[in-house]
Amino acid sequence: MPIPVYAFTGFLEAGKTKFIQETLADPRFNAGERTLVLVCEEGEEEYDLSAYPHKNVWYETVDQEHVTTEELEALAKKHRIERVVAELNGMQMIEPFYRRFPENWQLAQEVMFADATTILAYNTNLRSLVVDKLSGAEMVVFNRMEKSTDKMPLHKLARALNRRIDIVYDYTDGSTEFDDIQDPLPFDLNAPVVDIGDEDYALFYRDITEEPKKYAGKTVRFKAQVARLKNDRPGMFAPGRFVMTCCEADITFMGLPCRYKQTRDLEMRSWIWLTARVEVKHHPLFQGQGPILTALELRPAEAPTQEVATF
Amino acid sequence: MTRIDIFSGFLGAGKTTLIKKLIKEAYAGEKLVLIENEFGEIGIDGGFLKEAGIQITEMNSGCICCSLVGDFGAALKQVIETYHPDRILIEPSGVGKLSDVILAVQRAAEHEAVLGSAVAVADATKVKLYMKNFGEFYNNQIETAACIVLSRTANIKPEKLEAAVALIRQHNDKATLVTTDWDQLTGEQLKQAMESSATLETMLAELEHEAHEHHPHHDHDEDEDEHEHHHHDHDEDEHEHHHHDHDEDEHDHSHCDHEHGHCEHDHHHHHHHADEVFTSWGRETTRKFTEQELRDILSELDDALEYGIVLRAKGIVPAEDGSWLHFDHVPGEIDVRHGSADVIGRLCVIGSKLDEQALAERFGV
Repeated sequence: MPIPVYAFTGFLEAGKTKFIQETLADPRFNAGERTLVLVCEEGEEEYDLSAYPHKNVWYETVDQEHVTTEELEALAKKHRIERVVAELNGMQMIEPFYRRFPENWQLAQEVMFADATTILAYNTNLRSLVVDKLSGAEMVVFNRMEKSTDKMPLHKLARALNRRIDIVYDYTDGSTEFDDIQDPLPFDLNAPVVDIGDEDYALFYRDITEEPKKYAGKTVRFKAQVARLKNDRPGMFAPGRFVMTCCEADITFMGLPCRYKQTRDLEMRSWIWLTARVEVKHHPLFQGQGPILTALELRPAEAPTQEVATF
Repeated sequence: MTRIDIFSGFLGAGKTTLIKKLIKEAYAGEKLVLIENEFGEIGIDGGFLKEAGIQITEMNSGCICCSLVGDFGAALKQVIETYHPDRILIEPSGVGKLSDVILAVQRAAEHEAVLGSAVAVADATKVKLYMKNFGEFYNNQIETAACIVLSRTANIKPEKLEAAVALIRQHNDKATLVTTDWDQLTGEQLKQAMESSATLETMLAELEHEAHEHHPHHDHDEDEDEHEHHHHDHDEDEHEHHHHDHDEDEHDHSHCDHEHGHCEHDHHHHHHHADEVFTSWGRETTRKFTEQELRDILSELDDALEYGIVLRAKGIVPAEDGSWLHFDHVPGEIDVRHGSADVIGRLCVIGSKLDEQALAERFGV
């Protein structure tokens, strides 16, 4: 039987424990399933089992960095659990912990909590940890909001890292607000030629690879560097740019497969202006369907002022 | 020679606030360079720095995966060669290990600079929380620092502050510890604490020195003079004698030779001599006293049976009303007055056959 795992992430004092406590105390969310709460971080708030409607919850403190699959299996067996609620450690990466889940554990939901008064400073200084948490979560709750708090920096932080994330603002006066801020693309998809600005390449790349159908049949123009895909046939190359998501350590080249007859004339790494038509086709790069370009016009270009593209 | 001070501490600990205070109050007139690898909520604004004539160098690697490596050494060398500053202040990333930063500084600054203070700034309200959950980098900052400056102590509960101090002392019993609210301290006091020139050890050493050099001025006309006087002379002779002749044989003593600063730093400053005639006891404390309470304790110290024979007692402790009490005691003479704050409360007692436990209990520390 698969065991669903509900993961709660965020930094210390972001409100994880309080939320888990309140959820398990609420009969609507606690119908008596045998629940293991994995505590990877011991904050100031404490769990109060007496507030729960059933005696179906067990707490185990584990070391997120070092706990083994066998140990997790043993805990599941010990309490004969039906679901797991995990409170993750804010200072550690999430993925390595998930990889150690027993086979029948399935991530059901990942929710991040963030203190609106400190998360931007954390983002400036502990960017990789913030990226780690926001990019995998289905929902982020920005709490300790005041009515005067500017939502935009928080919205942008979450949205730039995770297109699908649901954003909730939790105010100190007890009210809650769902984020419905629209993010229009910075380029016009209905223009005869969709012009991508130098500063918008990262966004364009993510959008076209996530929702290629939107671009089917369109003509796009952008500045790119010439690269080649591994094992590609002649007549194909990969215009793209180096993109930085988090910091220098994660800079990767993000290119799209493109048909072009005179690939021999292309100098690797040189900058070009490319105008190309988009089709959606199968390509190994996408492990399925994805955007394939056909070059219509190609001419040399100056390197952009900021060579590495960012979101 | 450039002096390099490092201010480590997790986000929100108050590093920037501390640095600002020091720049304003303690480093006036010095040529300073500030190297920041962290960008706090309260940035040090350019105007302030310009006014103070300070160069600021930012290192733009604001995340855990690009830790302090490689370029740092080169950057530091360049800063020294370009500006020849009196002092460089480094504010490393809050999740960096202080020991790594120290190593990098030492490697980069072989001839042109010396490592000054290695400071850890820690939010007193979060010591326990961070120690439990942060693991290595946080403990490394506490363990490596020569001076630990606690922040947010103004409104903290006394028990919580005491617990924080105890936790810190488990990891580092050598560092100078600052527990007093910064608003009560001058930048100069903080600087002295950081340079470890005003510690419990130095206070005890001074007091012992005084006890050696000068005859206590209380032993002239009082009734039990004869005995006391004799005793004192005896003490001093014993001690001097010991000092000159038995130093090398006496293992215990050589360990604790305060004049050379190799104290065991256990904050129960033992100075055991062959026959235990001369002892000093010192404690750091965050406990608050009232003036009356202090007078009561000090007058009780004259009772030789209970605490041993107290020759001198001296200290600075926080008072219940937020002010600070300075006391000085020789048998029969008690001086308690209000005075300026110190970085932490300190109690020193010198005497013979001191019952340390009884003293600690009586002072409630």
